[in-house]
Amino acid sequence: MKAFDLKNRSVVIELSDRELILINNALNEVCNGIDVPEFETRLGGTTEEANQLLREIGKELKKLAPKEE
Amino acid sequence: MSPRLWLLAILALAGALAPSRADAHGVETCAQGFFATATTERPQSESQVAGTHQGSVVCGYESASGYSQAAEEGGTLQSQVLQQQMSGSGSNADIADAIANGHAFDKHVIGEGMNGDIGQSEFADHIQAVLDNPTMSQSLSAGTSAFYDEASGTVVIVNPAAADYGTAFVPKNPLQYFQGLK
Repeated sequence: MKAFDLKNRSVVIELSDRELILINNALNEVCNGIDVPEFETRLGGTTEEANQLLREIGKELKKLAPKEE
Repeated sequence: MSPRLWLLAILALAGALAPSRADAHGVETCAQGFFATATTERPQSESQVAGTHQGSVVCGYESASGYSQAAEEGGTLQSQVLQQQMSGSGSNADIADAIANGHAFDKHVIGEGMNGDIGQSEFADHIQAVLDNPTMSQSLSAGTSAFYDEASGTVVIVNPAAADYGTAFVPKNPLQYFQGLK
């Protein structure tokens, strides 16, 4: 992972495909795999925010996947 | 026309006459990298259809695990994937036994009460049934494969690199979990 272009409320990060898959699957675990009590308190965001991020990462991964011919 | 142009014309004609990939029994052949996935869905009986799923063969081969196989509809893909992952040395029953005798039984059956009060052999039978006839299956990154059974909500993840060959459990949101796996 490379982090650059740090700004006040955002950061641009470059991830490899494997790193992005790892983040995707970790988010999938906490969103859909296991019950996380006090989700927002422990993770710092709501389940809706986590699910939205999971969907967005999934879309990016689909773009990286080879297209079916 | 020069001999070189004649050669090019012959090659172009041969390419046009070659059988297309679609003719080959719907077999998909995709040269893929890390994101290779193969997703299949078996036909649902009426009692099993609780939601609408779009069944399709998405793509072909998992280079990360070193295998290359045709993605086919129906129940053949998962057994072929597994057999190739085990280098031809095992069956779905062997994999189910390995998983049922691993950590999954204590953690998910005993610990979480998955599928009620069942023993290890019943757990193995259930895993094998999911592997033999999953509602959906897909190849994941790093050479693992996932199998989903809609009726029970069970997800089986086969990981040849793990000592107990993977896991089987019922996630909080089974379908969303399965679809979110990469």
